[in-house]
Amino acid sequence: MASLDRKTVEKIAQLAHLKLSEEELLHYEKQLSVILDYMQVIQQAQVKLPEGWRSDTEQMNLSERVDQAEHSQVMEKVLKCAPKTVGTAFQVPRILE
Amino acid sequence: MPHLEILQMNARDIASKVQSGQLAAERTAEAFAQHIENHQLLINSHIEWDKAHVLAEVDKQIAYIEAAKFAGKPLPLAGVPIAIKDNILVEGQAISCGSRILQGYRASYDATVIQKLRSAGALLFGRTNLDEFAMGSSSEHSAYGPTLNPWNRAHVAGGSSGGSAAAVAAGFTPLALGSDTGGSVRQPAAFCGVVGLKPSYGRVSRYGLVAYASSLDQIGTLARDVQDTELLYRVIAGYDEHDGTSYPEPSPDALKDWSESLKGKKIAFVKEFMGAGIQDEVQQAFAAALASLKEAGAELHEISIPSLSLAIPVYYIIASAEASSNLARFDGIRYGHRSQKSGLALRELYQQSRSEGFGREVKQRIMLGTYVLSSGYYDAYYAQATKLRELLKQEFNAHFQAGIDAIVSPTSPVTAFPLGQNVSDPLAMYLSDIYTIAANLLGIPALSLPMGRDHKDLPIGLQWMAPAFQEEQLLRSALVYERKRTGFESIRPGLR
Repeated sequence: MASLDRKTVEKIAQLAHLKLSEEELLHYEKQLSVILDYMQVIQQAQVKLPEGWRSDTEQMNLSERVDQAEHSQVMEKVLKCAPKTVGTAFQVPRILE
Repeated sequence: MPHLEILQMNARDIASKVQSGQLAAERTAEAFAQHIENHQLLINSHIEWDKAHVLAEVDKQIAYIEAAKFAGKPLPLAGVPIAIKDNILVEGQAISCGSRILQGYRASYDATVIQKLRSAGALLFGRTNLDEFAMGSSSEHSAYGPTLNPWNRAHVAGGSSGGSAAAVAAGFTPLALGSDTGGSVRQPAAFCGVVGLKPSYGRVSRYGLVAYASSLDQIGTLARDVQDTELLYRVIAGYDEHDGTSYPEPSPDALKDWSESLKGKKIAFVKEFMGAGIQDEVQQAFAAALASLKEAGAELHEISIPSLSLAIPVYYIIASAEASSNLARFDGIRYGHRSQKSGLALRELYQQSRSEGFGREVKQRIMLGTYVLSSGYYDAYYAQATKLRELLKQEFNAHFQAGIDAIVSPTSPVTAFPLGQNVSDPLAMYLSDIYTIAANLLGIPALSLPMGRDHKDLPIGLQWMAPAFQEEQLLRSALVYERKRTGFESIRPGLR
């Protein structure tokens, strides 16, 4: 299944919200193909696991917190970090291209 | 006390002398700050080292230490300088994660571990270098230059917590914090000849650690020896309601009543780890370590874990997938770098900001992660990797349940490689993680401590793994080995 072609790399870049230069597209096409060719080996493994095998979610400590509204007091700190704000909002450019 | 003498002290001695009034915290701070000031640029351990700023913050902390002394409140890290890996949030301070994408950002809160360090009287001593977003095994993938190995500056310090490990090895601070997702505390510890601990998943709060792979990340400790490691571990471990994956049980006092013997301990070494690609001297040092353990009374067993042959793809598929999700938040809107290019619509702004801000390795892993999660490939890669992870866990647990107390191996198949050697080879770097990733995939505690040196004087690390939440047992056994070893005398910090 592996060995990526250029079109696939472009699609992945789009999904990942990355804009790649010509040079980068060639670079990643090569790198990712090598890596994915190697990763293919896991597909040969036959794994038989019983129903409800997700032990990684078993351990979760899902104790609930008290449902009490509190002031977060972070608005100022958060807005201070933003590159562009308008009042108490983050400024974004138009959505449609 | 002269500066030189202070620099040789370990953390527990500093803390006890500062608390008893025999040593002034100001003096400790001065000694270490001057040492860093004089030598930091030689190894580039720090992304930011601002002596004036550090000492100004130290003054505030000293007032707290005095007040605590007066009130009779014990401070386990009183006056101890500690360097912090630059992916852990310290309120009001810049944080880069080794990247350009967080330029201009200042942390809006303290990580839980930082709060605990402050409470314990520790002195925060600068932000250390790392591979960008903790993705890497050499600290060469930082936007702020590589960190050099204090033992031989033509070689890497390891990664991703290279800055922290190098800082401790060079004697800049007795302690440091790092983060470990696939070996990023243990491997640089091995390369730099210090002790690195990755606690069990859930032992240390991840609140305030910039996430790389959320099911694998843990904050870990870097120190000169096992006792200092235990001291720092005790301070940072514990349940935190801000971290939904935090383990609720408290950690027992690990080194209480420890004994000099490993009698009755069943220690295993893994057949699948002894394959090709191990440096001869690493092999020899490991054989000597096993002999040491036997002499100390341990029962050695060879065990087999067949799924280990697939551990690396499993790790990188899961880690990249989680990373692609975690790094989606860096879009230039709420914080960090926002592209200055004009006329961009929203989606273009995301693309431009991210592409300008992220480095090569990070982009690669984001794309790898995006691919293995995408429609049509999810089952073959991510879902399959998750199942194999479970299988690996079961194979390890079968041995632990059969009575194995600990598993030992070299921490890395090679010693610190030369700068630039592995940077362009996509697989070489990944393959060298073979010994460390299992502990993250399983969530079990693991530690690296020095067991020898190679002909270039580069340190060789011995890794210990124990069942989940058995840090007590892990630290005690490691301490016995540390006391008995002859291949590596107690670290005398400095630069060579």
